[in-house]
Amino acid sequence: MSLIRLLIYYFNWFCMGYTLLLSFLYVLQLMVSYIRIRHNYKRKPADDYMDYVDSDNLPPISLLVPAHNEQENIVGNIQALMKTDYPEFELIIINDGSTDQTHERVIQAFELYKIEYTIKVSIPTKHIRGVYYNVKYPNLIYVDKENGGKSDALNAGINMSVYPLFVCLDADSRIERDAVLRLAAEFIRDSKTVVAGGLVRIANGSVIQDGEWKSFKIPEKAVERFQIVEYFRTFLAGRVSWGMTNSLLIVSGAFGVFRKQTVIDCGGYRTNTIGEDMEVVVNIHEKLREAKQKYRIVFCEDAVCWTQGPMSMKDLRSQRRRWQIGMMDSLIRHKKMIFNPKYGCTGMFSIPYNWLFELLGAPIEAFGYIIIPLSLFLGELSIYYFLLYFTLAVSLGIILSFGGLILEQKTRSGRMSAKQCLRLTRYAILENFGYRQCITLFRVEGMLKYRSLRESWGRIARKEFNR
Amino acid sequence: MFDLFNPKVVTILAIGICLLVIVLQYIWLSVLAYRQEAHIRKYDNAAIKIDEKLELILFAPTLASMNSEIEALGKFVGKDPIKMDTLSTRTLALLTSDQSDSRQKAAVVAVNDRLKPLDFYIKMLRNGDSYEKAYACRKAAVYYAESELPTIRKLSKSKNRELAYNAAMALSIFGDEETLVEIIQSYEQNYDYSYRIILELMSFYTGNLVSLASKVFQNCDEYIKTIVIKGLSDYMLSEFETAYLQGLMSKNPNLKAACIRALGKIGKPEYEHKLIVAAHDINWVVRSAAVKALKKMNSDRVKKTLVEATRDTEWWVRYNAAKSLVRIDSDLTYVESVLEGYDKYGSDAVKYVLYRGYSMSAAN
Repeated sequence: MSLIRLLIYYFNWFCMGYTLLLSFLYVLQLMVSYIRIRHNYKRKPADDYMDYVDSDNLPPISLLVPAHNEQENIVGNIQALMKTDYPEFELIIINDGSTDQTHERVIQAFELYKIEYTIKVSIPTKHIRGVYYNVKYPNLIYVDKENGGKSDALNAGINMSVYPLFVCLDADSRIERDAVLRLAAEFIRDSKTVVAGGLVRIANGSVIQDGEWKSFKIPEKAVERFQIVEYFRTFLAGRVSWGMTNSLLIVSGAFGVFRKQTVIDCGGYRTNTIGEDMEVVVNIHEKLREAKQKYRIVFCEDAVCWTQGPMSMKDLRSQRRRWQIGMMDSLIRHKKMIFNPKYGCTGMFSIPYNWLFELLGAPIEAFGYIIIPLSLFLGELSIYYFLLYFTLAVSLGIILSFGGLILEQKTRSGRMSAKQCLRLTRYAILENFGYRQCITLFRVEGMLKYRSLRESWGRIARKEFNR
Repeated sequence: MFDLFNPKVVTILAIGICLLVIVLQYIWLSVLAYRQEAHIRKYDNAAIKIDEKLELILFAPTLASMNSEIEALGKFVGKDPIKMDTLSTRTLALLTSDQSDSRQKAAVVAVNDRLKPLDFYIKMLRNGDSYEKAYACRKAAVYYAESELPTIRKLSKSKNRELAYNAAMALSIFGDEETLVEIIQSYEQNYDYSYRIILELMSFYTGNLVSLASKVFQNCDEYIKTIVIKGLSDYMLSEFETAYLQGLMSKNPNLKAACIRALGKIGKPEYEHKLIVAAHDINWVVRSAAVKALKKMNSDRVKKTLVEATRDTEWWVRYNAAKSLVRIDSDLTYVESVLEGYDKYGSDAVKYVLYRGYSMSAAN
């Protein structure tokens, strides 16, 4: 057998084994998440988080919203955030050197004026050009600074904040009114909690008004529909299960609550990365495990944040490339954690899993798209094994996506009608014939361009939230 | 290895199994989705109907019409747990609302007497799962079902944290001093709960807070003492002034800070000297608490101390000192001395406070 044929032969075996192992792990995650979500639903009667809405004993919280060129959404988002159901909070908007009308719109909308300020610099950041305020909105602070990236903006927000917890939010996202309360309750429920992540849902098609979900309509574009299904799968199957083992590696940058001192002690958000959301959480795992400090990083699927998904393949490509680069960056930085028992479940399972399946999964899959048809063509693979592999690959995707939809129903959120839910199953099937392959290629592109795009965010088109 | 199996058979089998799983999932999803939709429709409508019927009861022109509306409501609610729970929530809200007059409240009491939501919760307390029991504990406490006190006491020792916590909250509403003292003292060994839970227990407590705190203090460590003092400080109880003064001698900075806060809230002039001394403590947490506590005192000595504190090396001390100073220095003499002084950090802190209008802020 020639070398090429030999390589193809073993690669086919490897692919089959890899796919089977991946299938097993994904199905396991689905089952664990199902049990967890069911348990959480049963726990709901005992959950008294709403009793804390009027309580003086809830820890006060800072909502940090870094903004860069967010002129379409920023004012609406600030107005919605100011109606958050929380007894004591401050809202800190950090304009990270926007080049559009973000700054002007915020100043005008809230009649802000520049003030003298004092700031506790716990984490160094780029220069702050000014701090703006209006006594009419006593809990709103607007910080204008030089461009330094999202991480730098968050660090500036941390320096500015005076409360023990902070929420990291995206300027183009909308949180539900009780979302912060739900996550803050996790810090009361268990004092070891240092990070609590919420569920991010695709807002495309939904009407969100004043922090309340009003209605859902399936969006017009297929790319948006695919993302809805994908987010259910990722968040409800993936994050719920990892959250249970306290080895969640990422809390969405769109919505997460952090204990401020913990983040400061871990050095804040790293500025030379575009995957700051994963990087800060992995860093916390590393530092706290090294310090042998007990801690808890949780995921709460009832605390919901709505975000706009990219509306075109071009924007989606930019986003997924960035995510892959961010993940790669974090995993490489923390490579000492791989299979290191010092880092507990995170080091022994979560990090290796992310390396092998989330990171390397994309190039392996992409390679498979070439090698497997080539094997068929060269006669190294019989048509039956090709069909077997193809069936497994596609079926796994469908099963997982259906699983995500089932989990969504189990959360009893009631945000979709039965008809809408069943309509989305078409996209759960169709995504395996083109969409998923595109995502894989975008991810591979991200890995190939890792060095050149490591610090580049790209730009995604936004539109104003539906009213 | 594959040669052991007929590839055609394996492939067909695999396709068949995968299709079967997908079809079963689809059926499951359909059932769940339609059930969920029906559930929401049913109970949204139920909530609206219950509200309508309650309104008819509250505004019934005669006793006979009120009774017949109550009967109709009873028939509608029946034994449905969700409808009963909705009814209970509505009636409790009406009973505690300032907008309901005495006649309406009497009507609500009549509804409760006839439909007995309390019996529903007692049944849940006895037969439900842990989380239902947890919920029923709180409801039993709201209805003041003393007969269930022994059951709830037992549940407060449960290994299920949610159940134990809710039972503790229920006992707090009942004002069960003895058991609550045990529960609070037991948190010495259990740092899992945030200290805020103890504060919440104290804020819900309907019994004699002085007696509760005194008993807790008899046999607790400094961690619990600190939390209880934090909880007591808002009530400005003079009975604990001695305990607060003793706490100032402690080496534990958190306990010292809690005592300082409590003394500051009481605000007696005789504590001024002690707070001024604390404002020079070696620990910044204590200094910060002291300068914050001084905001209720108005003497020149206090103002000078605060001016000095605006030059502290620790940001929190400077910031809190600036807030207190701006609040009490009504003619701004001392404030101006800081603004015109050589210490930029102190000056920045005071400017920030002035701009944010803390002197005028109701929150302060």
